[in-house]
Amino acid sequence: MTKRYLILEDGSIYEGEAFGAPATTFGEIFFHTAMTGYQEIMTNPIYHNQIVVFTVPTIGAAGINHRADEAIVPMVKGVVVREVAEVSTNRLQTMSMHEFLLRHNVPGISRLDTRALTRHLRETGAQKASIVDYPDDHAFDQLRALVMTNQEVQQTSTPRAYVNPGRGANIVVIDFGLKNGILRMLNDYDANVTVLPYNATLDEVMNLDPDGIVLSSGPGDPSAVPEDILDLIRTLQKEVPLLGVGLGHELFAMANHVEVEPMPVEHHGMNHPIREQITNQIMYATQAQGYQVVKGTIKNSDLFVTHVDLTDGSIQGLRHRNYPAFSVQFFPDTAPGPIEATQPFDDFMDMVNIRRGA
Amino acid sequence: MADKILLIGGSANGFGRETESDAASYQMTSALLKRGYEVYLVDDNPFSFTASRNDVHLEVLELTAENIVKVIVANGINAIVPTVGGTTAIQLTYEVEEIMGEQGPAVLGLSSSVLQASQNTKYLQECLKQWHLPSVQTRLASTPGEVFDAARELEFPVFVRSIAPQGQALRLQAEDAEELDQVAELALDRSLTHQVNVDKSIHGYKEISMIVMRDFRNTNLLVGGIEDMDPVGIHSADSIAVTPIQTLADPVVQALRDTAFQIARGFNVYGLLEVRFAVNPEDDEFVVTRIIPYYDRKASLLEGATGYPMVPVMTGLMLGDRLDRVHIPSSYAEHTAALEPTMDHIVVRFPVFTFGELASAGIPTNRRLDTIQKSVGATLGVGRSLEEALEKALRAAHFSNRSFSPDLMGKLTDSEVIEQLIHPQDNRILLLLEAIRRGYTVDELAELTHIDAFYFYKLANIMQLELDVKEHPWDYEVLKSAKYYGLSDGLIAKLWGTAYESVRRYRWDNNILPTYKAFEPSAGEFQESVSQFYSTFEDENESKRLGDDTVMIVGTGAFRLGDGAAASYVLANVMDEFRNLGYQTVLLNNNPHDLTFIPQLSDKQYFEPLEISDIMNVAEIEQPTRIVVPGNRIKLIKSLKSAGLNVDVLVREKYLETTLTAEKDQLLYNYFYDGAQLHPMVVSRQSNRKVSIDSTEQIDLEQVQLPEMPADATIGFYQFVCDEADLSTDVLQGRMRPMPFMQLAFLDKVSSADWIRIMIRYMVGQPTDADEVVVHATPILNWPFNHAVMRYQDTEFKEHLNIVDRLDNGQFAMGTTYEVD
Amino acid sequence: MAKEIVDAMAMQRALTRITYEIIEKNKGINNLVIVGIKTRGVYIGQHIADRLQQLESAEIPVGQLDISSYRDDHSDAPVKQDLDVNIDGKRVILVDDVLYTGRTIRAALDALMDNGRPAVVNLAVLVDRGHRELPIRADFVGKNIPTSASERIQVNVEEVDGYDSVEIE
Repeated sequence: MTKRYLILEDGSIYEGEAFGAPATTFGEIFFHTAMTGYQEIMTNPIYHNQIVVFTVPTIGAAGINHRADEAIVPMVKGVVVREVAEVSTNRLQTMSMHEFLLRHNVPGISRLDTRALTRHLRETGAQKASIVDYPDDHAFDQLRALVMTNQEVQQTSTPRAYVNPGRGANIVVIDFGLKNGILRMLNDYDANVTVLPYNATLDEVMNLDPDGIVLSSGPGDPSAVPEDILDLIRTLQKEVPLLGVGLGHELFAMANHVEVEPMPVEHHGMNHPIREQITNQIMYATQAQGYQVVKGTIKNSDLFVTHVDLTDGSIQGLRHRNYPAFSVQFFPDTAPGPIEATQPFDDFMDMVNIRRGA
Repeated sequence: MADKILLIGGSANGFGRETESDAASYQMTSALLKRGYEVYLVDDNPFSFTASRNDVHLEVLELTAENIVKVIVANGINAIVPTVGGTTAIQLTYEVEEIMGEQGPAVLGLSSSVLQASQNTKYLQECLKQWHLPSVQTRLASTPGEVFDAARELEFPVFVRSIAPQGQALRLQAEDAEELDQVAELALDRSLTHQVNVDKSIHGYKEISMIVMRDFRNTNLLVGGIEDMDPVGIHSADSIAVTPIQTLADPVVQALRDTAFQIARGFNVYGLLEVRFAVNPEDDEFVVTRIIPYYDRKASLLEGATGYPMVPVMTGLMLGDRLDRVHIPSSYAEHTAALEPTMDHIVVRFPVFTFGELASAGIPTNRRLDTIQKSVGATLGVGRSLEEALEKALRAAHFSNRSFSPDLMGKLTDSEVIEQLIHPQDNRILLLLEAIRRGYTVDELAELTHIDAFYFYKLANIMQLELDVKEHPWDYEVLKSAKYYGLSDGLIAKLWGTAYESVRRYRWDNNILPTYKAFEPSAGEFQESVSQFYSTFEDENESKRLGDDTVMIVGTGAFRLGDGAAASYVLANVMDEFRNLGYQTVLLNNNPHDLTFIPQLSDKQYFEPLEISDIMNVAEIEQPTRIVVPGNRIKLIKSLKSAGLNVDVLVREKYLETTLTAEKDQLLYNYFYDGAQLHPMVVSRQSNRKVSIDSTEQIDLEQVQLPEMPADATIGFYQFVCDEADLSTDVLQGRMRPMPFMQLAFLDKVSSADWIRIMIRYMVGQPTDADEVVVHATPILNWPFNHAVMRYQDTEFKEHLNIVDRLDNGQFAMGTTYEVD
Repeated sequence: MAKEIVDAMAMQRALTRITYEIIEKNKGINNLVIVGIKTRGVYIGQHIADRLQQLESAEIPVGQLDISSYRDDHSDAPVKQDLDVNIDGKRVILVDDVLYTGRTIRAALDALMDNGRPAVVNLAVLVDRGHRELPIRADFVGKNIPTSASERIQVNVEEVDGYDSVEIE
């Protein structure tokens, strides 16, 4: 049992026990309130360079299996949880949490008061954190000197195009930090998917004769993504049905002159009631959201609101008034998360198929 | 919409029904009255707290469909509520619908198809098939060859059932081809049509419950999931249950959640639905085994575990509210009803059995667990690790039960251990620990027991902890770790060979102190309003002293054979009266199904075991003005008094003498003792099956010489027990005892005076003028009926424990009902 | 026996999609009027209007059209049906449950024109089952369901039938 420490930029120190890799790590810390789906969360590229705090007291009991990977390696920089199941036995399991993190050189820390930590983070908002062997001045100096990159998309997007073949509609996914769940969903519709890097040009996209475009989710600040993308979106939305997810939603908003801002309290969980405006129905979906659309700036745009989070009124979905283009802030791919949240994929593929048929 | 609503009560408490449905109907009644409805209740349970309200119209009648129809017709009832009276109410609602048809009142929340499906497994499976949802797989076969075809397709083990059987229905299990060879012909021959059903066996699957809420617009919410540690094959109530779900991956949990939603939609449920699943641990395939469309033990478990306002929400939804706009009490945050609860703690429900009490009474029972419920109560343990939650639940359940002595296990032979691993008994958790101690590997144990290996690693941790504690007396780090994982001061003291006070003092000196965490449904994301707490040993304590004039009530924990439901009734009245008197109340209890957890009764609740250290820890934070202790817990009372606390003891006769051997009725002269003098109440009679009061045969109790009271007697109710059954004012031979809670609840219920509340007013020195009149009045004044009878029944014991002996029901008090005329 | 081919959920989704398509095609909801063909077309039209209102917080007029006397298997001269909404210069969305031969729609157009001069008329149907006998095409289709002429398509709506579904028999 090795003691380790989680230290926060604001000077807080939490003592715990090491698991996973023994490395020192830095990242932005956030808490996630989902009770299941730890592997999907750890491997979601949206959490690139972040340290995740699980509020659920125990993770790992269902093991690690590659079908639950959202990327080929864990994306988080560190894992904080009250208890890790030491050995897991799920039949799909290929290894334990500890082995998984060790293999990928990601440190974890357990046996600390994660509820106190969560309540603290709820007040302070996002900040930098580090998992270290000893919480001395040197550790804090290093933490405070750390400059978080704004090149998240560049670092997580695929460097070159690749195909995920199918026999159905021809879908182009623009990768801003794509997670596997989106490809899995498109697979369910037997779509012929081509994934292009974030800096794809209009010609590169249109040369593929897409029936539909998906702007993927991804990490970081949308305003750090090169401006060219907004021009590309403005052109594409006129030509082809378009679906934006997460960061893709934020970029879709910005392309249509709607502003985006950091959230006062981030959403990371799957239990918020989200209202679909048109039917007044409530659904639940996985949220992983640090930025939000500025409500007041929608009115004078060509977009309108389709989904709202009932806990804080934040915008969760937008649609274009004139083109077959829409976007959702939440994750519609159920990896992890509620199944009713997949509706946007149904709607998107309907849109694609109707226009293909016409 | 309806203006007269009838709640159908659940009748007697018994196996499978504690006071959870009464607690729900109490809360529902408050909500309905607030919305302007008139509320009627039919029930004959003497311990019904809802029935003691004076703002409901109560009909004390036997719960039959005919009686319910009579009440409906006589009072012009517009709607009935079938969801807060257990299976009794579901069954009766179904029958009332059949009798009254279109003329009948509206059934709130439930369609007749869901009533049927909850009672009839075959119908449920047909519905599931129609909706393409996973039902139990079954194949029809009429030759041995076809039986084998079916078995090849479904894979072993399978069950073979004769269709239209001659004689008793057979359900034969076959584990392999050899067994099937023996079974196939036999089952075919048994069938009049020479046909059998071959079912895929789900024995050994994981048993999972999902509880969902649905509104009329088809918005669905998952309140939570519960995982049984024990596999299918052990009744779910007898299983150790854990929430949140521990051993299923997200896609499986989501599939179960979505299936539960589809079923709620299919049956058009407005309100709560519990769907029970069996999940194959090999491949995560699952089937739906049962649906439970009413508030039952799992619902109250989840309500306690999550802090989700389940009863207010289900009440609103059944009346046609939308989930996002449902009326809930203002003490909850605005978004709470529509937020899916997420937990940052682990809750373990631990069943409590009857075998110990029966054995002490010389009644032999088979302790083996199977698909018929054997437990009568349960406790919750709450913690931040499974180890901690399990330790606390176990401690709460068995702090004084001899059949849970770990020493027993050491004496078993190896073959007895294996036998019990395969055919578990009530104390299997100790057996599992013993097996680990004897060196069985986790994989072996998981295979023998069909319990997920996850739990064995956790049990092994507990074993290791105990070993560490034992080997390192007074070691700070070891003690810290032991407390972190929920080991009690008492256990540590035992392992160190010292007194628990010394361990406690050592902890204090070393600053190893409990911290209290809030139960709330957002896992810390939001600032929720909270009133429920549990202890753990971490950094941050969230519980502050409630106020400077509080009453702390120590609950009675799990129901056992005896006065569980009655004690619950008495304490609920006590708490309510203290609140009426302007005190804030703090509850300490651990039975989630107990009436005392009704939110209206207390300002703050602690879900904790009830050992002295647990109570002292909370008392230190709350510093209550008074602390109410049911029963004469001498050590506890001494500790509390030495801490300067003002203790009110509710006298409790826990172990009743048997009435089985008595040839005649016993006469009971009942008194209220106000602290200075005895006041006669009424004379009642007790025989083995009943307690009765005949107000026409009362004598002038003033003429009877008052028995002597000991100098240290506390305010409360007492009875003079007399074996000579002839009523007389002569000096009698007999003995004085505290009035048993069952009888106190009964007297309180049938009298026109609220005796329990009067007692509380005397305790705090504030009797009203009316109280004085009642207490000094001639007994007859307070008994507004000719006869009142409270009866006990044996049937439950026969059904659940296969006991054929005549039982001493006064002592065991199961299946209690009452009537008045 | 009737077989459900579109359930309540899918039916609601189809109406949602049609609503979005109406907004997209009309660049908003200005000047929009919905006219439902009795009986089920009216309820479907109302569902679409409710959705538009949810999104745009503006009430969309919904008219009811009884076209029984306009049918071409009816020999008498049609009796003019008064619409309770003004359609002059409006963008009219004509709504029916099933599009089949097209004759109902032709009759509806006649009835509509007797009531004024709309700027544009679009047609929205929940189900297009094929077998057109007139040159009529829907602008918004919930579900294309290829059918044999001998089959019957039944659209059920909550308000009339107690539940939403499309059945085939």
